[in-house]
Amino acid sequence: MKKTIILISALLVASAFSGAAQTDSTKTAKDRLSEIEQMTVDVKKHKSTSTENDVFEVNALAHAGLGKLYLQGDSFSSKDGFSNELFLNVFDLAFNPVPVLSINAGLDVKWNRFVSKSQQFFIVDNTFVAGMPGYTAPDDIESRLCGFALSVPATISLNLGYTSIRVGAEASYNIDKFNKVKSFYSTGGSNYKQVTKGGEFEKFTISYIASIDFDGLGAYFKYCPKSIIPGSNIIKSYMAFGVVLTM
Amino acid sequence: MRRFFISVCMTILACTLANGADTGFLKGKILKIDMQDVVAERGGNSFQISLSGINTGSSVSLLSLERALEKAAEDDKIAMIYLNTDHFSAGLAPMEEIREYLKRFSAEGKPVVAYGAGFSNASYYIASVADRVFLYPKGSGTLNGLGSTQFFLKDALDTLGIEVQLIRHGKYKSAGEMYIRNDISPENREQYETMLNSIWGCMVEEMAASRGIEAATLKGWIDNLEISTANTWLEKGLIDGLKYRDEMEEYLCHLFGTNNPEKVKTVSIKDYINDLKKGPSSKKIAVIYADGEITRTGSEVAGEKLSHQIAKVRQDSTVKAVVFRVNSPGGEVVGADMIRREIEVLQKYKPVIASYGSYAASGGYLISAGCEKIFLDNSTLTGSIGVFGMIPSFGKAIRKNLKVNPVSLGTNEHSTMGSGMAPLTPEEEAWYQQEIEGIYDDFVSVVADGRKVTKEYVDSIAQGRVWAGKDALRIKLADEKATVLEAVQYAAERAGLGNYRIQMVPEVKSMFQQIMDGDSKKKDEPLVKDLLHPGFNAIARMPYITINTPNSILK
Repeated sequence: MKKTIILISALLVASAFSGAAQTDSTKTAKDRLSEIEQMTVDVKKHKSTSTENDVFEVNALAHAGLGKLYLQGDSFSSKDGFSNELFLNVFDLAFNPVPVLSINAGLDVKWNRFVSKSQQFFIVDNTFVAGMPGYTAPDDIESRLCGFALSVPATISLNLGYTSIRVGAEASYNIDKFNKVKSFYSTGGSNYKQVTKGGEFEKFTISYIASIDFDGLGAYFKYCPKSIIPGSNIIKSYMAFGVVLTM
Repeated sequence: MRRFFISVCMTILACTLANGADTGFLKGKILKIDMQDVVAERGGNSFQISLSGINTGSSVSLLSLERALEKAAEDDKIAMIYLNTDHFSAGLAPMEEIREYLKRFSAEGKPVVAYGAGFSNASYYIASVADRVFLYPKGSGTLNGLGSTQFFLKDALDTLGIEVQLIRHGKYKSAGEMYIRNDISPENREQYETMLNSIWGCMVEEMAASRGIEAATLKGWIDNLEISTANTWLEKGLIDGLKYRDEMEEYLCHLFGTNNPEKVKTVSIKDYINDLKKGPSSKKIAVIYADGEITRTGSEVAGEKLSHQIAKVRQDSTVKAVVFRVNSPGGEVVGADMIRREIEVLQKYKPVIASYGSYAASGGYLISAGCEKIFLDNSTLTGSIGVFGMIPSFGKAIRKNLKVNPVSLGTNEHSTMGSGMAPLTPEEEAWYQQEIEGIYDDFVSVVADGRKVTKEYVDSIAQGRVWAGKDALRIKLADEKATVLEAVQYAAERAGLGNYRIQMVPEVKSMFQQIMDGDSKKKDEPLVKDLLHPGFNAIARMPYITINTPNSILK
């Protein structure tokens, strides 16, 4: 009880003081100016204007990136073809509650290219189109599964001067696909069989992303734990490493 | 002991937290007021002619400006006001009211910073209220007080052969003296000097108080012309510093804790005014403007037109109260009486509060003396309760200069009375004098009824004398010193309105509309006016006064 009385008394005294200060006339504004004029402004180097932040920001073409995909399946090989992705931001919404923290969400357009030499992706039609004269069989076969996707990345960023560290997740809607098998011959020539109705992409996938950049140029890592081909273990998951440019 | 120590620590902590919001750099936006915009009574597009040239452009309404400043004082998003006083143009009373609201803004703990390339009486009067006043390092200007120049034309008219007869009631009714005298009359000198000293005295006291200087000291500097170069302004403590424009930008950035101008957000007063909320259209306060010289027809304050507009306000059930904003030196008695009558009828339906601008004199006072409350400013010129008529005759002039001999004929003894070709005979002059006396008596009666005093008292303070606002309050020609916004708020209180919309009457017209309406003014005038009318218009108008200050003409 005594402590409660002490606390209430302290608050009443504080209110009286703060009230008195605020009801003082022009002197209060003048005093404020006098105080501010004595204060020192930290001279900071500012990052490019695209990273200058208001509390809410809307940006277009905020980032772009290119990464190499590492496919994981029953027979995973790091040299199993060059799979990659390319993405470009359409718009990005940023909420910057404090200068060092940003929460971002946006829309990216992505191009995925899954390539495997050792695995044939699900193929409906396997009709051979043409072969190299004199060859009974190709030296190398590569199958590709490609398509566009719309991705919604959501990240939290820690902004420390020129350096930004981001972690988050990305939901993708894979909207297009086509599949082809390419045959290579030692003479350097190639032909391929295009499968018009081939393997299907998983419609929705979720990936986890992390990135770090310095003054807008950085590296990213992505991990998608789900198979991109429904009902198949050909590609159980994949990782991506690449470069990202923040504009 | 331990408990005492704890309670002291908690008190200190609580005080620190309570005051924490007032420490540190400013947060929010700068409300930027650039006094290049003309502050007019009603605002809108203006076409202004002054000695400095012809100025066109949009102007800001005084009422809107006051509403914006009042709102800004409580708006957490507005951190301070930046005031650029260059090219300032406004009447004395609007300046006084603007200054008052800037002072109230500062009283909320929010800074006002003023900047000018040079200062004059008018612009420094406004700037001095700021918490910080800065001047361009090469700027100058001076405070030299209010002056007035009058021109007397008797000798010039005699040379031309033009005769003017002035018929008036009121020894101070000096509006026509310029035509019949070569020098200022003692009464006129007395009233002018009293008026100017009253207004300037208030201005000097306010400027001195804002800067923490003795009024007598400031007056001494002014009398001795000690205020001239930028350095003298600084040495005498009239300003806080000299800054170039880039330095001013740096200073403003510093107040917000940054060196990046892009991080300092500003909002112009015009944009801020545009965001003012309007209130419900079912509950209105009408602000009726009588802004200009009064005529019967053909002007903005034409009796026939304005009385019609007042009648419409009376019939509008959504208007719950009225503020009658008068900024008029007077004019034709007939036109003024038309307006007075409509206001009198309006008062039976809704409360009508009068608010005076720079002038509400003679006819301008007549139309509003009956209002239930009269508010004005210290610098308002009012009173001038008197009437005069002027009869010029050009017969001698055209004979002398053009060798044309006018011969007048008529059916009766006095058919050509007031034709302008011959002076009035003593009999005719006596007749006009009787007319003037009758109008004066009516004027005094209106004032006595409106102000709830005796006719004898009104006559004692009338005689055509012009009074400055502070003196007018003392002699009960008005009730209180208040701004136009305060008049609106009072009217709202009288009508029991919490939330309301302000409706300006007449509505503000675009330049295009004004040009298109120009022809219609001529249609209002009777075609046979010059033939049948005896050519005599009783005038209730204050003297033509131009108060000169460097860099601006205040009328």
